[in-house]
Amino acid sequence: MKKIIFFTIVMLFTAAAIFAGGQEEKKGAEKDASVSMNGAITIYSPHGPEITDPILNLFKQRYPDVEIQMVSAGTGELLSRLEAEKNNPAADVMWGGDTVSFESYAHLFAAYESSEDVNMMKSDPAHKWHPFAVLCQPILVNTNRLGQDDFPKTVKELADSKWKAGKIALADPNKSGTGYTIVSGLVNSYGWEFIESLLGNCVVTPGSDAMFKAVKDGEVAVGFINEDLGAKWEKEGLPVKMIYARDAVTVQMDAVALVNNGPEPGLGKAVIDFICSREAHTIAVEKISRRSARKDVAPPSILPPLGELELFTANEPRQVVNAKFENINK
Amino acid sequence: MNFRWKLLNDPWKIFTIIAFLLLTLLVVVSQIWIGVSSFQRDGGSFTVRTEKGGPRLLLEEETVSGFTLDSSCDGKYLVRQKKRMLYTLNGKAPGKMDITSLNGESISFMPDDDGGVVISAGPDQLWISQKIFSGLFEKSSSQQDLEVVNAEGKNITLQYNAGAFLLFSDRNKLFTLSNYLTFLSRSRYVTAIKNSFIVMVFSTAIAAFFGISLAYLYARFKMPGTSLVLTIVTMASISPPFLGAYAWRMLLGGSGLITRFLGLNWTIVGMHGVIWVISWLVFPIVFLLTYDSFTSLDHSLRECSMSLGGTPRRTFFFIELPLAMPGIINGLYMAMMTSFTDFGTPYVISLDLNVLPVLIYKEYMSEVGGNLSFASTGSMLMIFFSSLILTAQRFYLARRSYASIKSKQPSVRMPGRIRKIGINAATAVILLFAFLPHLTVLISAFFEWNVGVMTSRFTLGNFASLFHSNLSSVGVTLFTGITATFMDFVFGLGIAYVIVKKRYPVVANALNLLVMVPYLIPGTVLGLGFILIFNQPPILLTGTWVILVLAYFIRKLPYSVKSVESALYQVHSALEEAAKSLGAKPARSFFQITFPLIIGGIISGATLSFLQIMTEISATIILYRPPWKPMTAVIFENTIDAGADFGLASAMTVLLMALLYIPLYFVTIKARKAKEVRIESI
Repeated sequence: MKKIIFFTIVMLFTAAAIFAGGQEEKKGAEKDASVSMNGAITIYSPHGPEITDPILNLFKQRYPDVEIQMVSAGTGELLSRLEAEKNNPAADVMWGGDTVSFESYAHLFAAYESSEDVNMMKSDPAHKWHPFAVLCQPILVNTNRLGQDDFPKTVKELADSKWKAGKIALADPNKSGTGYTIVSGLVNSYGWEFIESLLGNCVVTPGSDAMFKAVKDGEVAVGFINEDLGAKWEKEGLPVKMIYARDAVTVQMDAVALVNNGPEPGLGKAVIDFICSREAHTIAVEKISRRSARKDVAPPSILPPLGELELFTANEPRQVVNAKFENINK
Repeated sequence: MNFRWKLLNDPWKIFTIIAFLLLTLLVVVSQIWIGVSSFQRDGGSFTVRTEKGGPRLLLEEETVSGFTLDSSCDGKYLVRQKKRMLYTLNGKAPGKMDITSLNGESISFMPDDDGGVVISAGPDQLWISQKIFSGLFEKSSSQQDLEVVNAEGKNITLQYNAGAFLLFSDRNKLFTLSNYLTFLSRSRYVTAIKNSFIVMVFSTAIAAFFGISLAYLYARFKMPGTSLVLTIVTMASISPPFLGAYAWRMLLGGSGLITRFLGLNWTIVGMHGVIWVISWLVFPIVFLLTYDSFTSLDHSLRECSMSLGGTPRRTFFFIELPLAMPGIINGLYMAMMTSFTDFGTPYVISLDLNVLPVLIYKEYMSEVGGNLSFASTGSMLMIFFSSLILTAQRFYLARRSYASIKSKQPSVRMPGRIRKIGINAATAVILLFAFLPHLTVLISAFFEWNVGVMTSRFTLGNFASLFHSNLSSVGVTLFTGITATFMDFVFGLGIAYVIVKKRYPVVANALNLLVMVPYLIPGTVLGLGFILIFNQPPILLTGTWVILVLAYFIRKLPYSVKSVESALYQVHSALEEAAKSLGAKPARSFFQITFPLIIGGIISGATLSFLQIMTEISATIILYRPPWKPMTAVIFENTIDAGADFGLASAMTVLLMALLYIPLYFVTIKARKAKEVRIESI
């Protein structure tokens, strides 16, 4: 018995030593030549693997010596993590989330003037965030729950009493970046009174993924969706249909940013340049149906052109939207 | 001198001190941080909207907290904090305002790292930042930065982008009871507390009904396949984290497999579903503990009752049930704690149901600054309620004495034919429910998934991609799991020994209490506490494997200590004294005499710790950071994301279950020892 215990202890310590030693060696080597493309980089992303993988796989092909570690969670969760870790950051790059979130947490990110910034439709004067995609949130209906004739045609009619009893899912802006974009965009078009009457018909979910899934699984009849995911679901034949309402479609700009004092700034910049490149954006359009934020990449053919839509962006800061929403969502 | 020599001579004393210090650091200190932050809040904040073409300021009323703002007739705002007059805000021109201090101090200012400005007047500070909104593709080149253009005495002039929102906040922490008041007065939070209790009471009741009835039938009647049933229930007691709950939604949700097959208009999503799913999560605990206490009853008491004319019903309610009560109460207690602290089920099986663990997680993770104060307040309340439940359990058990001399002979009867069929049918249905999530996950791991929907194509691809890209997680889980189990093993053994055999005054009792505290702390809360204390020098551990190991170690230590403890109570101390009198040193007498006698209890305790550690999720998702990403974190990520495929998560879960069933088979199922774990004496 004693021998077994002794053996286990020795094994564990050896394993620990190998792990620890290995890590330190790597770190030391990279600090000498931060531009050389090898080492490990950590990316925080609210995007699921269906969005990140196509682009990062190409990056891996190009730079086989760079190991990519992903942490995926909601935008809010990741920003809270970054905030908690700011004295000892673990991440190098935050990829995904709307520009408003990046600006609210500007102190977590480092300014970096990417050579690709000039090719974008819009850029951050402080060079902290770099645009990735333009993303609309059309209405999503579940076709098992709703006949063709009952599809809503405008956002405005969602406040009708016929949708009562929680037939609509809405992501809580306090808990979700997408929820904020939707609520603030709708406020931009119809004002807070509209949100108040809309809320009477809504189940407020504590995150956007829960809202998307609720419609997909038929738990509610109507919700809102990020158009790339909606397009994918339609294409795969799920019982859902996206509806770009005539009166209002909310829209946000998705971005990527370099984490302040991240462990691998050299690699982080390289990854950002790559994510912003024409090549990566072409993949984004073709494989994951996202509208590129670059001037020189055309939007995906399966999505309606932005010019045909009544677009509304967020126009109040998170603090204001959250406080007002909290006030009416008792 | 003499004292020191004595201290060093007894390795147990040194061990006791080390264990005591470690537990204090990990349990008490981290919880104190949470306690303190639950009594703290930021000084306050408010947001003002400015005009593009005019000087007016417009307060957003809903955003005001901690301050009072009154507008005077000339468009000025008077800012007060707790009745103290602090500033006036006065819009002078588009993009220009004056701030005047009213507390008698002159104003100074400095820029902060967010592109904002901090102004201070004596002890009072105000952080100011601006938020500009421009259209999607508008060039935002000609922005006016936020800056102080003029400062003299009690007055400063602030320049900003006309039309921007100005965010004012006092970030100085102050001590207050207001977090608790707000928590207990805002309906959303009160509902969360109420929901937690409803879920706990009803799911424990359902589990108790099925668990106790079935356990009684199996303890009283000789049924073929009893050991098979026990095996399956024991296997069901380890639930596939997270995905187990989602399996129910896949089957019985609004467009679940069964719902669609039967053409029902119903969904499991909602409070009723949460209660139902948790019932089956805790059913095995109730069943196993109750079964043990029914089988260990002294059956002669039952026979006495019957021969004195008691009907079987009377005998059951007045003799057998009361005698089995300690085991039943333990089972119910563990079931209540599990359902009270369960995070995964409500998260998956409801759209908007707020229960405390989910609320805490969401408050902490919320996007705007993560409301740590409220998360901490919720945590403190949760610990408070858990302690109440524990106290009730202890109180109930302490009032009764159940000692009886056990007869070895088991008291089982042969069931009649009809009864046998009945029991078998009930067993089949109950086991199906308890094992349904496991089966669903197993099946779904072998089919192709597409955009979150299972197809009918058989594949091994899920496992292939697991081995291709996520194998390191398996290594991390095994490494952290085994290390933490080993620590639980060493400290569990030592602490139990100190508590039972050494009984040092004060310290032994304190240790006994400390060990039980982690059992009361929900994983989410423990994770939060660890981040708070280990995220800064001198002990910078966040993001390392050490913090995971420590969290696992401390969370599951009670299982280890309690099982060794019950084994130790059966070893008479005369044995060690004999060795000592023959000249053996304490260490030698322990390792050669006591240790071999309690090895069974030690192994079963370690196994239980191991099983719990490997499936731990609530602390893990707060604490993990790559490259130290355990399997449960991979499962969580691949279940939660709307676009992710479940294939990988299912395959990962199957592998995790396989890793757990192997040790479970050798220890529990072969020897049926793990049942001895009782969280009893505190």
